[in-house]
Amino acid sequence: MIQAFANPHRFLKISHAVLPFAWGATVLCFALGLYGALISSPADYQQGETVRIMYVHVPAAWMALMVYVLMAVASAIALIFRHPLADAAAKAAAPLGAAYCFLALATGAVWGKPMWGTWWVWDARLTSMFVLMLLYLGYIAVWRAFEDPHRAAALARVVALVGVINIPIVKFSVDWWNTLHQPASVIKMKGPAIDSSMLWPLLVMALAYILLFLCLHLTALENEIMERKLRALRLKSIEAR
Amino acid sequence: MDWSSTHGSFVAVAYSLSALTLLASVIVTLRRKKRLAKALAKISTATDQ
Repeated sequence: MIQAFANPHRFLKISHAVLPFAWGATVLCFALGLYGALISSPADYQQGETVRIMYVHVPAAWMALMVYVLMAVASAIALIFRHPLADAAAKAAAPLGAAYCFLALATGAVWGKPMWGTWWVWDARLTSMFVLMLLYLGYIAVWRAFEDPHRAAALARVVALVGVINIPIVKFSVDWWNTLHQPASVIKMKGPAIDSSMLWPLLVMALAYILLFLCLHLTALENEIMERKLRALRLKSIEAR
Repeated sequence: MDWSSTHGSFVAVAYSLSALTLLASVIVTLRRKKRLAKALAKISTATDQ
């Protein structure tokens, strides 16, 4: 299965076939999710209208974690199987994960001000998310710091694999320490502790975020393949002179 | 929903921020694709000649 995508031509063929449907599904999910989030779902009895920030904040936070795990898995595949597209997949995912992480932090701050009375607090959840943001930026910086892509890839793999330790810390920080941030209310052992009228828009928005990531990641991977081709052609033309 | 209320304005800021960030990601990715495709076509033509 993994090796089936090793051929860039085969990957591009699949990507070109999938992308139009993925973009269509993304637009549909966003339309339905925003209708649920802003119109059909009720205001919270304690938080009032600010609860609607949840529909953009929670999926962004989930995506920030999921994308980093994807980067770590891709880095492990690159390290073990020498898969030619695995490093490119991790590299292409990093700016998207950083964007989702930024959104989780920023919308969290906007939600925190009216609910907690402060934009930011150095509690375990917020601090570990901030560390995740730094890991994303560090990973992107490593790719930009080296001229030689092989050296950059080798160091970037280490950053991705060491940094993945932070993911369970983010997830369980609200259980391990006393935090101002509330504990998990959707992904938990006893099932979601959230009413279905609020749960479905949240899940549809999460699906929209996943589909948008799929579209952008496939496009960014196509870009990586084109960039490699461009580099090879430039080297070839320099050698021919 | 009352967007002009204090709570409504926080919701508006959060949604605007999300829309702008996601839209910027889309624009940056698609513009890079266009730029790379152009550069690739140019160098391919030059190599063929």
